Amino acid sequence: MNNCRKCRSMFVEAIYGELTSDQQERFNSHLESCPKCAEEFGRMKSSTEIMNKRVRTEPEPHYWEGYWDHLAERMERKENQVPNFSALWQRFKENFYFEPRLTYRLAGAVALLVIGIFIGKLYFAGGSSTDFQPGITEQNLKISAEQTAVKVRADRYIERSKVLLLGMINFDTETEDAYALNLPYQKRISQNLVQEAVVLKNELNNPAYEQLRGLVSDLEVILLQIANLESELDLDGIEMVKSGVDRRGILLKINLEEMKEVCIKNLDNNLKDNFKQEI
Amino acid sequence: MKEEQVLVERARRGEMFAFRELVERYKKKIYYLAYDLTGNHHDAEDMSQEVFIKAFRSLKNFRGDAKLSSWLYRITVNTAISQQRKKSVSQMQLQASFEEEGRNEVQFSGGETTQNPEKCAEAGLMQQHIEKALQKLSPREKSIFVLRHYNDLPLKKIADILKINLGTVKSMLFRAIQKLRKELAFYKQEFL
Repeated sequence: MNNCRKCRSMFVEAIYGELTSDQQERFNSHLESCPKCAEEFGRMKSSTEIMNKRVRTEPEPHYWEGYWDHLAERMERKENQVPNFSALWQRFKENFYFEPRLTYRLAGAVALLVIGIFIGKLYFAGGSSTDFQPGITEQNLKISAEQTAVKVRADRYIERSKVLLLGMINFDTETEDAYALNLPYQKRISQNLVQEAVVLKNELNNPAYEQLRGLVSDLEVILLQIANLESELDLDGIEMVKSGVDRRGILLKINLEEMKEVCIKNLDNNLKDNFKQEI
Repeated sequence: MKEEQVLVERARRGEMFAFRELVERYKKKIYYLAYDLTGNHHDAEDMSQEVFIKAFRSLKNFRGDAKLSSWLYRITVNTAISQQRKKSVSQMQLQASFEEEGRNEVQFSGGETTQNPEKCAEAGLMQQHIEKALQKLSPREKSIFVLRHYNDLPLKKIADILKINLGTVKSMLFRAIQKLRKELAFYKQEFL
């Protein structure tokens, strides 16, 4: 065995005696030639030996005698229970707690649907573009060319951050190989994005960009967390980043920002069409 | 095995006697797995009963190609994961501390009076540390660890029970042991 990584992948089976005799032989010979692997294996084995000292508190013998009676009683109680709204809600919640990602996706989908309906009404309800409430849009039209350039940069910044975050959010720490994520590369990109965020925040000083500025700040915090992850196998850190993204609703905010951008473009086009018609 | 299949078939048709026979066969295994996953008698009792109720309700979905024990183990692990996610962290911590206090009282006043009280206290403290270390694992890591370490199931069987790859089982178990090593690092000189 010429590879420490291969040897480490056998640690678990070696601890529990599940290696074949051939594998065991190769494993032992590697440990003899590699003190680092031998030390690491020794430490892991020691931990499992400590766990052997755990004592289960045994229930009293009569507990087993009455087990069926208690179970039958409980089954009968459940059988007679009239299903009410709270019980159904509880069952629904149980199913969604079981798969929290599904809950987030559902919440995200509902939020997007509501926003879509709102925007649709805003655009298509009145028929004439003069019915629109320009508000921010007019302000948007007035902003200087310099601010527009900043906005374009901010959009690109958000797009790049989104790609990075999606890669991390979709990475399942429990089932996927951490090396596939290429964490050192992600950390490097995050460091660059954090530096860019500092400059962008200063430049996004137009009140119309207040929300955009907030989003850049949120992204900065998350990207800083990624930049500070310890190593390739900092799985707890990755989970922390993922929960931070969820907690701050960052992906939802990004989607909103993108939708707002589409709205503004459509509004511009409508205003131009109107202007042509009037001429 | 054939006898068990007959019992399952009869229980599926609603014969309570057959279902009782199955419960009697597996109650200890399921209770101990639930105990390993929850860390206390009260929750283990509750969870093991919940598992049998779920099993009874879904016997019609049980295909004979898997072992009944594997199927019951899977229900137990899924129930534990679902319940653990439901509980808020603060609730869990509060409950764990109460349980630990209770358990210590039982252990200290139990049948170890002939031992040195200092050793007894030390052992009690170690039990606390071990339980705390187990609580630090993610629900899936803990399930895999207790199935392998305390219930002596081979890695391949665990993969079958949880319906995941053998490689995933190995890497999660590796990670679980690494976490436990970190949590129990201060014992290495003293006990080994």
